[in-house]
Amino acid sequence: MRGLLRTRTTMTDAGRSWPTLLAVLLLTGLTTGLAGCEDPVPTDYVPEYAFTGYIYAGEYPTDILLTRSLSPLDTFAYSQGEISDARITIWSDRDTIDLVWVPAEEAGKVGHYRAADTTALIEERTTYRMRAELGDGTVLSAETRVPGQIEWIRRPPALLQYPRDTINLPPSTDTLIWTPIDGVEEYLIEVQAVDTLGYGRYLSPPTGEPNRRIERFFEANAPRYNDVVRWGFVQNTRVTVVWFAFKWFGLHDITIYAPDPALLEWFKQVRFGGNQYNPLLGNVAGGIGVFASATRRTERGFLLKNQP
Amino acid sequence: MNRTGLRSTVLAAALCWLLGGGVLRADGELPVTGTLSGYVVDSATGEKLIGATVFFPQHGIGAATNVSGYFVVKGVPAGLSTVRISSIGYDDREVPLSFVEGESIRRTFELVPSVDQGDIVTVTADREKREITLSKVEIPVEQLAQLRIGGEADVFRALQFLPGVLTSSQISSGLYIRGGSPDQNLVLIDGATVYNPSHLLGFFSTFNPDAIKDVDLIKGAYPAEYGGRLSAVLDLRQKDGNMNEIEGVVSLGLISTRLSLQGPIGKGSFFIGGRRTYLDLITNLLPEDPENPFPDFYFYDVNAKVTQTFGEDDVVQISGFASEDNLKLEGSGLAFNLGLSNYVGGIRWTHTFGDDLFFSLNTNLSDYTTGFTGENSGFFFEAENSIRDMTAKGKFEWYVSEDLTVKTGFDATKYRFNYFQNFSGDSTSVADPGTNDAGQVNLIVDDWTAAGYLQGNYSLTDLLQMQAGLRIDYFDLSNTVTFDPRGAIRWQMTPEMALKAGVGIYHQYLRLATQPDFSFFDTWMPTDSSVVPAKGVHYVLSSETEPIDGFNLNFDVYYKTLENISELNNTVTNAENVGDVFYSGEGEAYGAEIFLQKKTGRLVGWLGYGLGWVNARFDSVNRGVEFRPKYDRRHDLKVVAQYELNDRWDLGASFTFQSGQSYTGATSRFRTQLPDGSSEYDLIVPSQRYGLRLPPSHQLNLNVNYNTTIFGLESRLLLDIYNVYSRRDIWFRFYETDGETTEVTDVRLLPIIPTLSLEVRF
Repeated sequence: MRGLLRTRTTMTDAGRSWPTLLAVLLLTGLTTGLAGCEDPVPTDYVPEYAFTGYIYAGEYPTDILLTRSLSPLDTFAYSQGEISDARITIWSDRDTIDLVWVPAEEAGKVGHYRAADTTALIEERTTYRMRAELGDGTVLSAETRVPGQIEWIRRPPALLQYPRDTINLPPSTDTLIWTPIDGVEEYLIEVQAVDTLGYGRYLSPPTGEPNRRIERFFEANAPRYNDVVRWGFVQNTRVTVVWFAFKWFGLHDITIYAPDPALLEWFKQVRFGGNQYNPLLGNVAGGIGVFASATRRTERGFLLKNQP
Repeated sequence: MNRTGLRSTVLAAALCWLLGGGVLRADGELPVTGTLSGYVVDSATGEKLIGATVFFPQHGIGAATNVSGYFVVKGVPAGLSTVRISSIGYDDREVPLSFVEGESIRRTFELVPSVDQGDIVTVTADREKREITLSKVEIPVEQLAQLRIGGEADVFRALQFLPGVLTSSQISSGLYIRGGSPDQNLVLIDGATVYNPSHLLGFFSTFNPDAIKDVDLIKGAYPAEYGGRLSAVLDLRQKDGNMNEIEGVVSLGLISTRLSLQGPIGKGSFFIGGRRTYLDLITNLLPEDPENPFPDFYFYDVNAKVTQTFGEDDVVQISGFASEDNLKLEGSGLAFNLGLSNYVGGIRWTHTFGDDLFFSLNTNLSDYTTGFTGENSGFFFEAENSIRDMTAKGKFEWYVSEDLTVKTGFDATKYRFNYFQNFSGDSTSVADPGTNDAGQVNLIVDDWTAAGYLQGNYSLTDLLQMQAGLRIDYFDLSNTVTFDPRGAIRWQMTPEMALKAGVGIYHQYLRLATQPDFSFFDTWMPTDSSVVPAKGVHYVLSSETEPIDGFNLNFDVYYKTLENISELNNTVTNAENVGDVFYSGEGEAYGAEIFLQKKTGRLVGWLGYGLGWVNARFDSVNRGVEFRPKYDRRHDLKVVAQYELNDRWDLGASFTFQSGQSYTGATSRFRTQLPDGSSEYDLIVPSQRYGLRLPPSHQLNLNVNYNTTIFGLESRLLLDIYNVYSRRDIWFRFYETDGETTEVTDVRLLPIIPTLSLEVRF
């Protein structure tokens, strides 16, 4: 009551205190209003059809994924999203390739689609179209033009060796060079550790020495620490093989890709775009994902241990 | 009389009326009045005071000093008058002056700094006598300097405590003003553009309050004098220096040391000040661990200015500003170096022609460069971009009469943009200028722009004032001419309340490729033929009242449209032109702000609240659907208070409460792979872009200053407690898909940080 009376008294003090009153009212209103500013984490699940398919000149189509996206709040089990009954066709002006489902247990990896006829090879400099018809009538489609075949001009050496990375010895560098391909200005390079366990068995004479990782201070907590592949993005037709390209010692496959624009964009999606899908980087109509092509050449090399 | 003759007579009469101040004596003769002009300066330092008012109470006429400290009061009747000079932070002064008919008097008035910050007579009307400015915030630099983060006083950080000025996060010094992004703010120091005023990836701004004399923030509808940006103007002026005696300040803080020195030199003064961080010096003393190297980092900034006076009419100032950041990391076969620098220099000459024509000429050079170099087992890579401008600005301020002020001027800028990239692996391989091949880029773009403006400010009556201006810009590279009309009107509704309205068109020629959360490799680009200049239209309605002596209450409503604005395309890697780098879209911002401010007395500070909306639409973003940008925050409450307890103790507090920033949710998750087939990548499918809002941000900071003497030197011990109740707001939220269960992960901001610093004056 006393407070109320005091308030009344103040209010009669014409004009002088209304900013104070205004401020009090403002703060009261705001405190009430602002409490509801936060949005709860959404639980809405909107399923989409996701397609990932790459075709390579001189190879038959395989490892093509078609799934239904799953709720972000449930435990993700890839097998629950697999779609095995789609009718998928890839065709060019000269050829038509039907795909068949290969279940996980047969493939030894995730279930995927591959060419029914494994002698049906993709041709370079050819446009291919894809159509996937799903059980519910949904149709996914996309198109890609296979670039010209890439070739090594200077291959990776069979043996690679680097100085210990923490001392300043001049590194022995090897430059890889490949043929420029019309219409391709950006190339991809893949360095894959083929055997992360075995090392000595590839030496002559063979030993039982195990393989191990190359430890770097900035990679200890890096995302995808366990990936056996390192990817590079090259705006050139030559590149020096650098120490940082390797995560393990031992046997490696080094592959150079001449990608079509769709593969390049999807590479950016996966490698540069965080983990949020950007529709501008996919090319599949009727769903999400990519249907892309490339030509590629692989060479095997062996990285000798030189760290203690 | 024929029609032509009548028109001539009317025009001549109108001109006479305008030039003569519009007052005729009873006998039909124009009264012959006097003119008082001159400067207002600080009595202790001789520093020219900006925005001081010179007022004749018995005649109701007066004026305010311009950015050079110069004023002109016309129409002073003959006879003995008393002029009152006042400025915030100084004791009022009354000076008797006797005018004979038509006399012009030039005087320099000295004001004594106020000891107790007592009641000040503020004459808002006279401060805007010559120019109406809407949405302009005037905070004394001394008050801004008390808003410290981690013990570091920082101009941008302080400005973030104003309503309508938002941030992308508490660790970013970028200013998002009324829906505009930081690149849409024109940042000037002594008239020269500063392109990236940030340190430490944007955590601090480059402006050291020790060196700053005056800060004007105009949040919208700014006058024709300013151009080239869409949203706001931040106009800073460096201290001229003490004209009477040498003085200096040393400040030892947790993060940096500051040092400044000023004093008389020749017929004027000098000021030099700087600060530098310690971290690299400390880490260099620690034993090196090659397996776990610690990055070397430092930044510094230096401000310098020399002012010389030549006679009564000429002042020449040479000023410079430099800032640099450097980050170095070396280990595990990788060496990486990141750098950022701003260098600004200029000469300013001011001249008064007679009493009523004030001229200033600025010639400036501004250079901003950022880049990185790296070396990985002999493979060298490097990228750098820079923008350099050489600018000349001329401005005439013509105090035609007591009621009419004309301002006109020109700007001409020669730009050089350089983008250099060497990903060839060979450090000795330098691409020829013009190269744009894969791996090797050396692009140099030369361009120039020119602008002219004319603005008239006229008092229709004692209570009603209007202003009209036109700015014309020419952009050479895109061969574009833009016309930006601007207008404002001011009505002194009651002695305590004024209403103002303003409208203006604004164009922006430069685009900035940057990230909203931190400043890294920010790249300015011109408008080429692939894009058109961005355009904004501002509408502002404002009221200013002084409900209680010493309290100012402002209320602003604004609406702003934005066209051809930019959103960086983060995944472009092979751009042919500017249009490839950005998505182009449109937007709008609207809202209201209340600002209650107390500038003088033992207790100073403000309470501000902003309510705002920002919407954007880009064909290529969010599937073309309108969205609110990340920095859109609906509510924005700021409270700042500083209290002088006694001669020894000063206390301060600042509090902010904002709606949480926007983020993008997820509707589903799927798995994809790259051609190797061995690595799985799980992606989330986003929902509406920035369609969700994080919890509100709020933070309380406290500071205590203890004034003392150390070895007879005036000193201050400063205790700052940042984030008192350790509210760790969310910096950003993302969906982590590394595991089988999708984790909603929050990256949080800094906890409570107490810091102690020492300031010694000598």
